[in-house]
Amino acid sequence: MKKLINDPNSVALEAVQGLALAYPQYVMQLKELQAVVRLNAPIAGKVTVLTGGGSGHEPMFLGYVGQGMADASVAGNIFASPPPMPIYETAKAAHGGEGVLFLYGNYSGDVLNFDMAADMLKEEGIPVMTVRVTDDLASAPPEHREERRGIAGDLFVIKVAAARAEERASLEEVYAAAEKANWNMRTIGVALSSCIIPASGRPIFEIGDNDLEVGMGVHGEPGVSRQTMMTADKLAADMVGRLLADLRPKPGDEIAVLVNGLGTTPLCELMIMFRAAQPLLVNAGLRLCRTYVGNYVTSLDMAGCSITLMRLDDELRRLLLAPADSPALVQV
Amino acid sequence: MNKGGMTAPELRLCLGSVTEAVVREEAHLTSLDSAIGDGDHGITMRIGFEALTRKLVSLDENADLEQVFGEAGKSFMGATGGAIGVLLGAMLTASGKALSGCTEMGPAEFKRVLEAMESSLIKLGKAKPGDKTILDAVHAACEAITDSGHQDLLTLCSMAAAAAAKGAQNTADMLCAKGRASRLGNRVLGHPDPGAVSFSIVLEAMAKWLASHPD
Repeated sequence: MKKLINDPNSVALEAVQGLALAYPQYVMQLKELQAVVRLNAPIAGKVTVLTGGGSGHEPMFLGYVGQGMADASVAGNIFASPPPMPIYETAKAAHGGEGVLFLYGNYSGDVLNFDMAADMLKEEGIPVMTVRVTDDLASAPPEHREERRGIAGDLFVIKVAAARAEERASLEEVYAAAEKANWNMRTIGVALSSCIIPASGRPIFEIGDNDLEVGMGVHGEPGVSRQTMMTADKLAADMVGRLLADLRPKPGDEIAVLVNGLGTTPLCELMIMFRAAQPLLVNAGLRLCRTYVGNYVTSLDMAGCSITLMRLDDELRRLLLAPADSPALVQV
Repeated sequence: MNKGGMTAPELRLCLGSVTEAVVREEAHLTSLDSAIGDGDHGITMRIGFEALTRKLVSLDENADLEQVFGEAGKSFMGATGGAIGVLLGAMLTASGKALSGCTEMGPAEFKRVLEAMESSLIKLGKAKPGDKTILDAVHAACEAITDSGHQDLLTLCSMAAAAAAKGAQNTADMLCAKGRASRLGNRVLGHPDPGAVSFSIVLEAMAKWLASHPD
């Protein structure tokens, strides 16, 4: 294992410290916690959007704190949810008086810890609502959509919810926009390699040199099918086929697309994947409103990518295209 | 240990030796988790128990059983995060509440502790026996000692540890219950649940400590 780290047990904390030092124009670290808040937090009169989850997915989650993006974010250790206390403390520090929306991927650890923090906040009279992102279509069948995991789609849900909060919408309205984004979104991922958790120093699963796994989760959760390596065109066709079968968009629907790298797949390969996916989407009668290609939600040093589709209506289009200024997402 | 049961200072020593066992098993637990999960379970358990031990070393020497278990739960939960952080943290805290006012943990108190662990786990985790979770080990341990008569603490703890180990091993034959792991289907077969194995390691280490401290 060759990694640019100091102590394997302080990777998460030192990454947060580095982010805060690198982007003082956007965020500040909250005390000694693995958490950052927007520079001008708390913003009075605005719903507070708080996101978080395990470390190892950089720039998710802390890189998406800023203007038009989240107000605060809390990181756990590598691939582990943060505990309740730092979530509670960060929410309190960032709360602008209009309630807090918790946004995170649907994993049992995150649910337990964020729910406990939500209970602590509610006991003090701070309203909390929760949206759990469930975009990974490989993680449960369609009839159990609410049980699916959250992966790259976190980005779109944060973007939409934060833009709605920026419009000074109420907590219920921000929640409704985030739920709508989540409900209209599907992601399929594919892993070409494993990844190494610093504290163990070993790959978290085995995959043959000539294999790929469709549907693998961002923590190496086994996927739906292991196949031999194939061309980008063939893989993109497989992935787009699964997305369309699950999202079932109608011809004429407008969509946003995210081709996301998992950590060590070069950007040129992500571009080749989008080049393959784009005509398939167009041929299905879909109108592409906005495309994002890059490393937005990673899995340490895993190779592979995911493709996310979000079906848009007028509100989702407006919120997606609204300006954002944060360390990992800037759009004007 | 005297005949009546385990005192608060003894519980601190005992939990210290549980920590040593968890650290020894870190790689094993992590490899179990890599087979069906995200591969961090052993690391999380080590981080949690090391934090717990550090806390207990600095705890006031007059702390009672409820405080020792309570502080153990709080420090474990605060250091780890993840599902196991909340679940095991809450189980330890519930154990403390079950011993409120007690100066020693004897056989009757040990039964109460296991029952409190199981009910806090069911309340928070919302799992059922057979769902391939830590509950399968906890439930097996509880069942094994419920109608066990008047054994001493060492015998009871050994029975519970053996039952938990068997309960954990039995999870290898279970499918992940409905929900996000259901698509994994048969691929989880043959792999025990790492959390259940961890719980059996904790009880086994407690039993070993009791066996090596007969007075």
